[in-house]
Amino acid sequence: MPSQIEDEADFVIVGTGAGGATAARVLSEAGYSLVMIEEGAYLKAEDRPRELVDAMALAVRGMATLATDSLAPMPLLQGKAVGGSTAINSGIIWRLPEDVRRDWIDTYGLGALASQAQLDRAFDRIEDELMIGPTDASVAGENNLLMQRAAEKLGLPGHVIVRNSKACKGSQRCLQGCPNGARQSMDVSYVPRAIEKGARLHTRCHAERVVFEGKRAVGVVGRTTDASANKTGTFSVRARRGVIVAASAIWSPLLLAKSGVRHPLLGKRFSAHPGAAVVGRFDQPVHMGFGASQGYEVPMRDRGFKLEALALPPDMLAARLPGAGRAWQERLSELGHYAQWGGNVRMEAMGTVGNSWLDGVSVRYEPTPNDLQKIREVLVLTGRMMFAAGATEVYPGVGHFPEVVRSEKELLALEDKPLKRNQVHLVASHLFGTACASSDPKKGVVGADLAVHGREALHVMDASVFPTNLGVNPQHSIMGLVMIASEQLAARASSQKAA
Amino acid sequence: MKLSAIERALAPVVLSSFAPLALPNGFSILEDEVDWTAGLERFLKNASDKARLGIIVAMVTFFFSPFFVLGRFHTLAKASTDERAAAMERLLDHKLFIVREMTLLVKLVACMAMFRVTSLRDRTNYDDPGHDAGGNETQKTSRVQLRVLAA
Repeated sequence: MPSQIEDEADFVIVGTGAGGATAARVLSEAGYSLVMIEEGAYLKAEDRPRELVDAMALAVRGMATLATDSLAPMPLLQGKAVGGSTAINSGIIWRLPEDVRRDWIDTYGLGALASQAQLDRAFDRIEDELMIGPTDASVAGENNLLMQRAAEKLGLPGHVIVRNSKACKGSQRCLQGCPNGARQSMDVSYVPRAIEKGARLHTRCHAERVVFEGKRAVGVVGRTTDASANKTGTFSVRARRGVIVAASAIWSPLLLAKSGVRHPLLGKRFSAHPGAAVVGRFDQPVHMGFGASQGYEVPMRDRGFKLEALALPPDMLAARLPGAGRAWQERLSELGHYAQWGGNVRMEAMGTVGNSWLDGVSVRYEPTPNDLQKIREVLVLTGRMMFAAGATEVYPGVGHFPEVVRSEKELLALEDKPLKRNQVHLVASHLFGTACASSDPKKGVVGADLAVHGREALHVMDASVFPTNLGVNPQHSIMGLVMIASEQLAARASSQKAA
Repeated sequence: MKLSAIERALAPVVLSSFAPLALPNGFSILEDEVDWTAGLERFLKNASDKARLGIIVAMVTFFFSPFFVLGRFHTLAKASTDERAAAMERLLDHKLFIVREMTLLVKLVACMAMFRVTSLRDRTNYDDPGHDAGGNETQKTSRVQLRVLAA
């Protein structure tokens, strides 16, 4: 029997990631009734398997195989569960960088949203509520400690990563889902808070269209699905005061476009922070299986990238070790002796997101030559850090280059020629820009209040509103900006109600 | 989503070819220890349409890879264990990016199937910060020389 969900609330929020959950938290606290629509499932900590294929099947969209349309496809890593990508990330927290904030105000007219005072207040509140703090030394783990020693030896500006984690036990299962409920992702923090205040959550609901009456958004319709994403029925949720789309920089513009929203910049200006990584072998035990997944970083924003320790589940680490057969099997016998560090690059490239019959989406995004040289710099510097920390072998993972290097001199041969796109494996996990914000309707899909230009009662509250990428992890910036925008929305709705 | 007959036939042959050797003193996979088909099915069921298509095409190609990359006139199923591993090595190092990427993706699927098996995972000592691969006790921050297990 097909299922049929019908519901109604003041606000309907599509997506329960950093943006959607923060909006839910603010609006429910302000006394508004809410319905949250989430495409994925609601997973309890104890239901998150350790085994990677099973964990990813539950919470990672497409097993991370959704990729750009290119001769050198770039996988796009997104969560698909309550909590969105916050349920699969390492919870790295950075406030919005000042140079980005100034650019957004000066170039895009976002002063009403991104004033220093407002942001500081929002960030202070979030940091208090989500127990944000530096990774504790007791759970750092050797992968992070080695990186710290390397940074200190080379005089690099590294520091311990600040995360949203309460009593982390160092299980190194951030990607699979924290089994201890320590990481304060949205599924264990803001979503439950909103539900406590009366918000309702419908999971396994794929939003297909925002419904309009004239220009006013009045609801959301879509299909309900089972665990295999097969359609089981339909849902229809009416919004008395407004619809908030927070489905990510990939799916928010698609939903808006399918709903009839038109803007020259919708689906354009896609940007990301693609990453590449290097593995090193150490004589001493490293045991990535213990410790914070990501506990140490070296921000190099002036050079356009950020290096991070990145502990991998054993499946991914094993796949990353070079070779097959005897050499690979010998490396597998000492899986506790590898470290992995990598870097995210603040790309200058911009791309597009559009509809497609295959997978429902087409993303086009190619690094520029400058971007590729930053990636090369990431690989070289990370490799140098490995040797500085005592690595006996480093695996750069670069095509047409030795898969094993045993000295810094061998590694530096990477600098002899420009890096080509078809030499390097990249993965992008921070996605931005496809419904960008600007107070000028010609320069933005949404305004400084995150309301869609030319529409009523329709907002976008996720990273798709960012006019530029950040160069740092975006979760905190998403939450801060959405907190401000939601508070402003709540205040406007109250004054309209009073009127 | 159920695997087709071809996918079921390819899974054990192709996925096991990354680690086909029996190494008495090193890391080996025991006979019938890994359910390659179940691992592939779990992955493909949740992968994107493009990835599903790409993996199947890749696996069919890899099945015939001894001809393409080694000049041997037989499939992976008829190849010796050394030839199977050598073929996967060549594919991982192929001049074409897309071949390297697809081989890496298939290798990842193989690893996911492998590490679903607790006994196999335990033999890598990945999870145990107190012992090295030789079963010797270690200090987490010590600089003990590892005794590499030779073939």
